[in-house]
Amino acid sequence: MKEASEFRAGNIIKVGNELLLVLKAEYNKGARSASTMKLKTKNLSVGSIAETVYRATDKLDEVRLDRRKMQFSYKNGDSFVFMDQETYEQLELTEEYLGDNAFYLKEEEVIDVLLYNEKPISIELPQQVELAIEYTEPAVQGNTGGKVLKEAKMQTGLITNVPIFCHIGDVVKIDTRTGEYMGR
Amino acid sequence: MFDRIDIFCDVIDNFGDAGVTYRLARSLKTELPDSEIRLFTNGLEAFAEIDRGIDHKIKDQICGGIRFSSYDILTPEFAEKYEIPELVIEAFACRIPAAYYEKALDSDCLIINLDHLSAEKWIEGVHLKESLTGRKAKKYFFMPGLTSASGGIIPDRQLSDGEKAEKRKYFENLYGLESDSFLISVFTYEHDFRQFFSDLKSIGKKVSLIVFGEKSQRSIGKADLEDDGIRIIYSDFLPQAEYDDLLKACDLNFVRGEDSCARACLSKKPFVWHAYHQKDNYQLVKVKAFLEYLEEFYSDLEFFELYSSYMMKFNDRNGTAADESAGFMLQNAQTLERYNISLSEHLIKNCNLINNLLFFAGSLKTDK
Repeated sequence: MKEASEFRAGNIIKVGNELLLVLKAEYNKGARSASTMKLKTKNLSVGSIAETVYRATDKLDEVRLDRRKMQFSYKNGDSFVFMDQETYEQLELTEEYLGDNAFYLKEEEVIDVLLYNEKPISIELPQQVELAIEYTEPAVQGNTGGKVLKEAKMQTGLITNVPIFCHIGDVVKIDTRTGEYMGR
Repeated sequence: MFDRIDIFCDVIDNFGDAGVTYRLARSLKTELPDSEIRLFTNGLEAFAEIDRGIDHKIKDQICGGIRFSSYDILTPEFAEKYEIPELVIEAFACRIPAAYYEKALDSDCLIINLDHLSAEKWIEGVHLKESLTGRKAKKYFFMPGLTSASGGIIPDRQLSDGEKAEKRKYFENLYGLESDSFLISVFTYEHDFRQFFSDLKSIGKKVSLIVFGEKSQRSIGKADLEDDGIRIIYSDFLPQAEYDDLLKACDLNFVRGEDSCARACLSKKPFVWHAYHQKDNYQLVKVKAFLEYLEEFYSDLEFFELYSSYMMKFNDRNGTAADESAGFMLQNAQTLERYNISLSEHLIKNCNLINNLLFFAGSLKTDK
């Protein structure tokens, strides 16, 4: 059992007899101590996608999965192709299964692919990844309007806020749990 | 619609949790007079402060048609015999005692997790979302808010102009006030009021402050401002309905917590909201969201900027921020009131929590 606030995209929850793959996890700090965790999940038996909400401190059953170290080779349509570097076996995962994790995948990155009944269903990311900024507005000196952050699009399509001193091409560290900028 | 409704409330601190659930129970009883509304709590003392008819020493009692029960009676033996109602409201992520909760999960009931009021946008994405239990009972999140996409706020009795004048007279008599004084209610958390007193002195009006609760009373301390035409009255708590009326009869209100904020919004009167202090000054996020919401009711943005800036500073607990001058608010109370009339009318028309709650719960019952 683990607290709802600890769940991330890629985790599997067991509710009753159903297995739910977390596609997106959103933490919201409530008034006082009542924070909530909104999870977008895919039901692995019927394929339906749903959004559910839990108190951040609710205990949920996590299902442990088999894992294999694999390299992300390339994207083919909406499929992400991973390769076992020893056997050269290839496995595919669609965006539908990867959820928000797709925003942190760079080609040639080696990560854990998670398998359920020998079928790949998700990946596990490191807590932080380095991504290059593909686009952000240049900061105009003296015209920051009190803002210290600006929007930026990363090489993987992730849109997040970065400090105003960041430029296109800069490689920045991103927290994969929150999508937030951590440093350069 | 629902023959019985159980409400659960953990009293953590102060009166916010008790205040909202008491109001909820009362409003549900008004809406469904034939239904049995029962409120279980670990803090009957707080309810006894709000309603003098409640005796905190009695663990199971009926007051005003509502049954108030202490968690102490929720033994496994009690739960075993108890029939779980169709609707159970779990207020503010409280922990329903295990004996009851386990039985509820295996019943056909609907559990509503009622949260605190917030003006933040994200609540709309959480409102009415299911929280899977993996058992027979269904559970949903219900998020009070200030838009039609949220759960709304619990309405209170609106007063006509004539009733308002009568209420004003009533409070003037109750507190022995002069009829031409500028009347301010103060119910806040700890705050340094020195700047505010200096503003009051400079407006040249007779002022009466009615101060509630230990925290406000301690903050104001022994300030003696009678020579400056400012009278301070330290009052005991008023029954909830009377406090609601007071807000509508005053010229300016300082309110604290979420429920009083909702009351202030409905009062049509100028107000300053003092939000519950959260770690890392996080309450400022809540206040900012609230002000962003309020802005749409103000046509004079420069004026709103003054108001907004005052309220942000008032809520900053970093220890160094002094209040901004409240002069603009004291001089322009009627302008503020004009804007707040539109706010109140919008809320009454579009954001009725009781209707929203019963409609949602009723629709799930129909689906069964």
